[in-house]
Amino acid sequence: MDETPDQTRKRVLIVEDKEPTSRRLAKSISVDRGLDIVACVQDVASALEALHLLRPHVVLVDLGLPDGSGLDVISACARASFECHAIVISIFGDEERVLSAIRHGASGYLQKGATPDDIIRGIRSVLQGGAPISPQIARHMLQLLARAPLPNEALSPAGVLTERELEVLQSLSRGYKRQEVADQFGITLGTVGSHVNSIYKKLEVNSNTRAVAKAGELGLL
Amino acid sequence: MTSQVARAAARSLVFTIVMVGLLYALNRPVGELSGALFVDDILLCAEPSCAQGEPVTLPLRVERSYTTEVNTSRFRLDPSFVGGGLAGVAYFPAAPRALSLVDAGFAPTAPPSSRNTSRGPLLIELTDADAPLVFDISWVAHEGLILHPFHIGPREAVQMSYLLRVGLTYGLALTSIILMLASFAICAAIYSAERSEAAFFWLAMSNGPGLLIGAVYLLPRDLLSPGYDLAVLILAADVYVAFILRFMTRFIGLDTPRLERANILGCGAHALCVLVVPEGYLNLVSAVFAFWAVGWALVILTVFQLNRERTSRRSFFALFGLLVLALALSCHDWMPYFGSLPWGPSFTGQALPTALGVATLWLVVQRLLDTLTRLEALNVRLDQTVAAKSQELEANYRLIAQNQTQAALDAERARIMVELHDGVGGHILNIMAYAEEAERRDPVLETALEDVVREIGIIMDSITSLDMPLDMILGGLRHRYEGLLGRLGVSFDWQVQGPPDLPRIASDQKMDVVRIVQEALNNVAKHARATQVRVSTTRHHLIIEDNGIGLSAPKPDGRASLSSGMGLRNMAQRAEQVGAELDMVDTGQGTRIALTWPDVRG
Repeated sequence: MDETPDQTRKRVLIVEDKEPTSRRLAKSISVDRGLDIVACVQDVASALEALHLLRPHVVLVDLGLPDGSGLDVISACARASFECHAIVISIFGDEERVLSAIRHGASGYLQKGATPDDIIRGIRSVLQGGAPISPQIARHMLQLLARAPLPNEALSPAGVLTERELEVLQSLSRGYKRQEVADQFGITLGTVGSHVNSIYKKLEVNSNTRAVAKAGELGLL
Repeated sequence: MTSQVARAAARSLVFTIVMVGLLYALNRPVGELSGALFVDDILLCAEPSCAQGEPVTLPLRVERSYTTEVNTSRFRLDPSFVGGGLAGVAYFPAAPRALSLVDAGFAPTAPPSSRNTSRGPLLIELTDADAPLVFDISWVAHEGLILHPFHIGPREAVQMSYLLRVGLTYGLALTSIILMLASFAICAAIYSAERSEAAFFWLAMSNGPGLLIGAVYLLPRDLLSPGYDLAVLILAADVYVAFILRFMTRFIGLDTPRLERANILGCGAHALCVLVVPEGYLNLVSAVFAFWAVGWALVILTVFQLNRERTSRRSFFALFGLLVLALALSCHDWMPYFGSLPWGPSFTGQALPTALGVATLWLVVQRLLDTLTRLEALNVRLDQTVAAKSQELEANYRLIAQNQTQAALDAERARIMVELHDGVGGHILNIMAYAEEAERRDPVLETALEDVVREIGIIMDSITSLDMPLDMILGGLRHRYEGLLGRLGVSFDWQVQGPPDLPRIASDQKMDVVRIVQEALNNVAKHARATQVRVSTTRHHLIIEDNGIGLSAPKPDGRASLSSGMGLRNMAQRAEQVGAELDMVDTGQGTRIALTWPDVRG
């Protein structure tokens, strides 16, 4: 297992209503001595309570919960006064769910079927500021962010991709791994990570303006 | 500015003088008519029996003196004097105000015409060719007397001239009256329909004095005594000018209250004078205020000139010309009153309302044309707007239809995704967790479950990525295979640079390509025993190449038999569907599957 360079152990909260899955995740994570599972909860209400009581660094959250949507938990994490990364758990890593989670402020996603190693690697990369991103997610981000603005659309400048971000996103969507992208552009792995983080933020910023613009385009406003 | 005003005023004056001069030149003295006797010598009788007298040459002019004394002068023309009989008619082209024949007993008979003949022609039937022609002319001292030459002869010889002069005096006066009435009706109608058109209100009002001017020519001669006859004419002209001034300022959109006040004060003074001044001096009053009216008419012309840019070029020239003509027509009539120039016999004032009536009609027609033009422009704009809006609407409908179709597709897609995810996915996940927790783990079961998860993932990808370019679909495929191949010790050498240049590739064909790559990767996982698989694209190629054991049963030439397996046959079929050539070879260091598209773009 990876030896953690962190001074303190990072607190992890799991929000998942299917117990076998929850147990599987917990088991995978418990191997890492740098990570400390503080609670496993099964619904939105207890997740929000745990969030405020336990102040976790990482929240693994499923979207379909018995008393509501995991998106609410993700929003609460994004608004929290302390540093808290929400990671959405998805079985297939399908973009609809992951993207809506990112729009609510999620820092990344994990596939439920991933191997224990992959699970830990995903959590670590989020903690180190390099949110994971699959080609499926990348290409949808590209579609959402890179197209020309509509005539009556006022994209906030904060939501427009830079040329390098566009290139990185394009490479990721073509299936290249982060290291391969870094090699392609002659930049460090960390720089790729910060580009990806920036892209995540821009998607979050844009999710609202885009909806308004779409409505305007249809003459609904 | 001042010099500009002075120049405009001078121009107005010069134009008017030139026009009066032109009228003066046209107003020829009474000349001979062929077939008729031209009488320009006559005896001015010294006593009622007219036995003696003083021969005078016509035109005879007796200057006015400002008293109301009525004088009667008797004239006698003997047949012997002109060398023949006095047969037919006596034709006075411009008769004095009151002319009556004197019978054999030297008593005056009834006047031959009830009209105010001082401004028109007169025709008198002669009964006895051998008797002398004796007639009386009554005239008021303050009016003076002018007797122009006249004709005697058969009716036919003077008929044409007489009718022409009747037409030019009484006829024109009648025309003026009709025009004024019509003009009043039209202007009033325009004003009542559009209260903002103040110019037309004043134009309608101006028809009042215009009517009066025309009527003076047609009035019975005894209706007004000679002094008032002229006074009414000049007062009417003054009021006429006042109304035209108001019309003009509103027509060109000028606000000149001080000018209008000064003008109305003058008109008031004029009216007061006419009421209080003794009749003998009315002509003097009329003379003074005639100058006043002419002065104001010149002011109107000057103001109009200074603001000519406020109206169209055409309107300016037409209106200015008609105003100058109207002014000259009245000036021409008044001049003989104030000077002793040998003026011709014709009067022109009766044409003044006609000139202004024409101006009014011209304005009305112009306005009508303007309105029509505006209406037409409005129609054109309306048509354009309707066309543009229709286009916009059509585009919007298309957009909405598109969006509705897209929304329906999205909804269906989302429903399938949710069912796969929450339904199938949930179960699989529970099985996976259970399998991992079991005391004796079953690697075959776990691999099978992973295969199922991967396969569902690929199906979900294909649902959401139909409209994506091929290179991005391939990127997604790598992600799905990464875990499986990674566990088998196979790494990717990923060289996808862009989608192959395939102009006629459709979304279902894209999926065919994906299936070929998937099949190739499955083969790598199942049979190749490779450590690396290289996937690369160029403009015309898609190549999957591994470093494994190669084809298990190669033909002698190294080519694989495409019918050797179900998977291979499928690959070949799909390649055909997407118009590509499939090539599978054992390179000696592994297997290479290449899709090649012909260079359709040259």
